[in-house]
Amino acid sequence: MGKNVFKFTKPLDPLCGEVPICFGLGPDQDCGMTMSAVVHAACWGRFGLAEGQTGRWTIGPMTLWVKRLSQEWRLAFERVDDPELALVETALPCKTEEVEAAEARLAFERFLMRDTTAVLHLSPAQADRSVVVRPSTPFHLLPRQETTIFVSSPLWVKIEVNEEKKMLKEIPILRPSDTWFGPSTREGELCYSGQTQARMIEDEICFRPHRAITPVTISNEARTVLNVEKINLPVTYLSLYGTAGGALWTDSVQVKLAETPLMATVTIQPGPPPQAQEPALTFPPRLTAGRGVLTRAMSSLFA
Amino acid sequence: MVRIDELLMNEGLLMVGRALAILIVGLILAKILGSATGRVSSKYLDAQRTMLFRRIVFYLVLALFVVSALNQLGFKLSVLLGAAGILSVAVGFASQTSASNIISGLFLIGERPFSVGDIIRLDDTMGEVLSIDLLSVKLLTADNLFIRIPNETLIKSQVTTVTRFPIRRVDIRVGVAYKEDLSKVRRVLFEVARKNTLALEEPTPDFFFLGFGDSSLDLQFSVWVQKENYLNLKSVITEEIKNAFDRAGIEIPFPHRSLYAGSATEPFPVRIVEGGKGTPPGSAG
Repeated sequence: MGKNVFKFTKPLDPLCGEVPICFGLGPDQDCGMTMSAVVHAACWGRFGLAEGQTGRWTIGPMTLWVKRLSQEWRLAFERVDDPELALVETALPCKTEEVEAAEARLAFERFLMRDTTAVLHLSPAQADRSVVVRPSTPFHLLPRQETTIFVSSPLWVKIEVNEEKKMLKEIPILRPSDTWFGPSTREGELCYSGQTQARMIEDEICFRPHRAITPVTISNEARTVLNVEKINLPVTYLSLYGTAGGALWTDSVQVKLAETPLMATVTIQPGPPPQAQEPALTFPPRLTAGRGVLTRAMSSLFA
Repeated sequence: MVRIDELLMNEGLLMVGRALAILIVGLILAKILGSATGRVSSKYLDAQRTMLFRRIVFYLVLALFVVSALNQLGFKLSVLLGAAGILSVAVGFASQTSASNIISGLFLIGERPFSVGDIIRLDDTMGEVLSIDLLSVKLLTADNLFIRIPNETLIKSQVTTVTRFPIRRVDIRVGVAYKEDLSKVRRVLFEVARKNTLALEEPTPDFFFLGFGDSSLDLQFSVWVQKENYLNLKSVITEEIKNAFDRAGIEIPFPHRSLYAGSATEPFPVRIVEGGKGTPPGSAG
């Protein structure tokens, strides 16, 4: 997060009362706000765009361009080849020369409607499939032991317009690789893959604007050592919580490996995890998991 | 006399009317029952079987009412069945191929090696299954051609259902020069697969050494992909491999020819031509 330095300027668009602050990067300038407090204001929330204006949002490795015309919205995005980039930058409205350069370089998608209003919502969303998280160093969990690890998963950005939040598009901020999770090539589930440091100490977690952190508690109640090389994280069932500190957390997940039969129970603890108490923002999950309990065969969770 | 004739005629008309009424009721009932069966079975079965069940129910109910209507008209069922038996033998001899196709069609529907929407390959033909009918299977090829394959052919031949399982393997054959370091080639190829988001991380890609070719070391690089992305990945990854090889300085050789005059003969005469002004070899003295 060392790359984030923000310059604080006044809102440029008077149309919308809740227009967040507009930011420009200034490598050596201090905005007087804590960086993490700025992150949410810059990335997520409700923005105002006057007719003919274009906004630019850089969230991690992706830059998003949104242009409002009288009867259409135009969208374009580009990514840089740096998955670890933790940059957050907003230009609202964007300079004309920048917009012209972007229009020459990128193909803008058009979304037509009868009349556009000034309101634009950007919100984070979980991936549309489960994410197979692979600790960079696999670990073993001894019998009758419990541990909590923090794993991160990639985020999508939802672009909605008008008060009633009409969806324009959902874009993965960083498109994760596909992967297959199952006992054979015939049976299994298509997932996204992700790598994690699987940190156990909260202070060591590296927050990035395009990834959410999930606390996963694994308890091994069996008599054998549990070898964890990868974990299938059901992110589609997880809500997102944005803390005032700027980090995005999800519901915590508890995985219990029973003694007999060799089945694992996955329990999603609804509500912000202890690390994200009193979140500033809450985003609902894609799917609801009923009672928040999923029971899966061991092979479908770990490998 | 006139009154008896009128009575008989009236009775005859009444019978025809009744038979017609039975037929109409039968037709309506068959339609209702057929669509009800379709609606119920569509919840549990695929489109192909739903269609089959709907048709079976429709024709069964209709046949019952037709028989009942004929009975009403005074036809005897046993005579009708006997006539139908003789007729079926005659029709059977005349339409052996069609009958064989129908039987094969029933087996195809029962065995279900593929369903509507699957992509199948039969010899050199590959296409998406549009429908599985009693006589034939209709395919749509990638170049938008409509192909009708008789069911008998499908039963007798080896058919590959390309889209049976959710993931597929893309096999890319590539040759590298003899001077290349294979471990470096392997590293570059795996890096290409890692960077391509459509290439599945698991199952992990495979790297095979196929043999010592005429002018190259022949390799196969196999990457797994979601079946819907097969063609997309296949075209993209070959380009990426070529670019990655170019960047890493790995040579993809084309066939080499070494001319050797043999130890028993004199070496080839070589003349150095300056500025391209020498005399052509044929005119040398």
